[in-house]
Amino acid sequence: MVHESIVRRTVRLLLLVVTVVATGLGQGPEQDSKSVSKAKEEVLKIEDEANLAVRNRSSSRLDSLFADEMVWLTSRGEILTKAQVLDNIRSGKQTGLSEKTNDKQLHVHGDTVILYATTKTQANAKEERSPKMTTTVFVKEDGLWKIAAHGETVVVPQ
Amino acid sequence: MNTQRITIVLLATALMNPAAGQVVGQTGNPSQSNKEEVVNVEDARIRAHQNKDQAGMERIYADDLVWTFPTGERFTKSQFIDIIVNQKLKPFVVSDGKVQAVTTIKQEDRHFYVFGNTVIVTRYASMKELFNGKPLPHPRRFFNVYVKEDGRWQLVTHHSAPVATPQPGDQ
Repeated sequence: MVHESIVRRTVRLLLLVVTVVATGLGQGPEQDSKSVSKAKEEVLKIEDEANLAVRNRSSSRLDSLFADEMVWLTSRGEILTKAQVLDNIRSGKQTGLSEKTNDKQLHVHGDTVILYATTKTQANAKEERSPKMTTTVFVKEDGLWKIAAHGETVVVPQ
Repeated sequence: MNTQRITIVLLATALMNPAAGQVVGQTGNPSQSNKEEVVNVEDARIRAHQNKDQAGMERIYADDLVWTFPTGERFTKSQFIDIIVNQKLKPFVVSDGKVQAVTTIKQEDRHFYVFGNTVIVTRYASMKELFNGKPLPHPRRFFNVYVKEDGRWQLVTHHSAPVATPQPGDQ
């Protein structure tokens, strides 16, 4: 009698575990698709904010949008730190991120999003008139999206 | 019995948490551990390039990899693997007026930046390369972005730009 009761309880518990796991698995792809869309939406918003902050030379806003260890690869092949980029933006030397883009593609890998775009220089266009291919990497730190890397390459005419 | 139930439900919930697996295997400083893991994957990637090891590259490159050349051209995973396997990209040096193929890729000015499960590698490359018989801009700097997904590091993007002011000693 006692043995039968233990078996019944064990079976019930197993069913409960299977149900919980199955429910979780069933929601997987739908949740994934929702979280991917949400990540894309959030990142595009951050990109807009960064564009505006560059145009307004608002280094304080950019300070919070850039990760501390940010890597910035200029179209001249220099790697700049966050402090150097902020200095350049304050002085108006840097126009990257404020440029209009012709196309945008977002690739989501969990808490990392890569934004690919093709830009045309709008301001300070003396040297760089050709379109540029840009890659911007966003990472989520403590629940906030930040720019971890940005790269620009001038397209060489074929 | 209630305690048993709660324990089993908590266990099941923990197993379903995708982050649970990421903690396993990390000892000490997770940032240092991630850096060390990516150093190994980056080294393996370079070996796969040098050996034209298609399976090795397939494993390390994410399916949606985008590879940006210093010319601004962009390639997908399959396009880039085709470029390497079929030797469309050829590193070379000019020695005594003769063009010689390069078989070993030098690791110059390599740095690693850790952002949780994302690691960015920057590097300087002084070597000259021919792509489909045409010289590519050189020297160049680039970054590689690695992301750890399902316990595995994969290269998700490579972005390269020509260096306007070469370092002393570059040809």
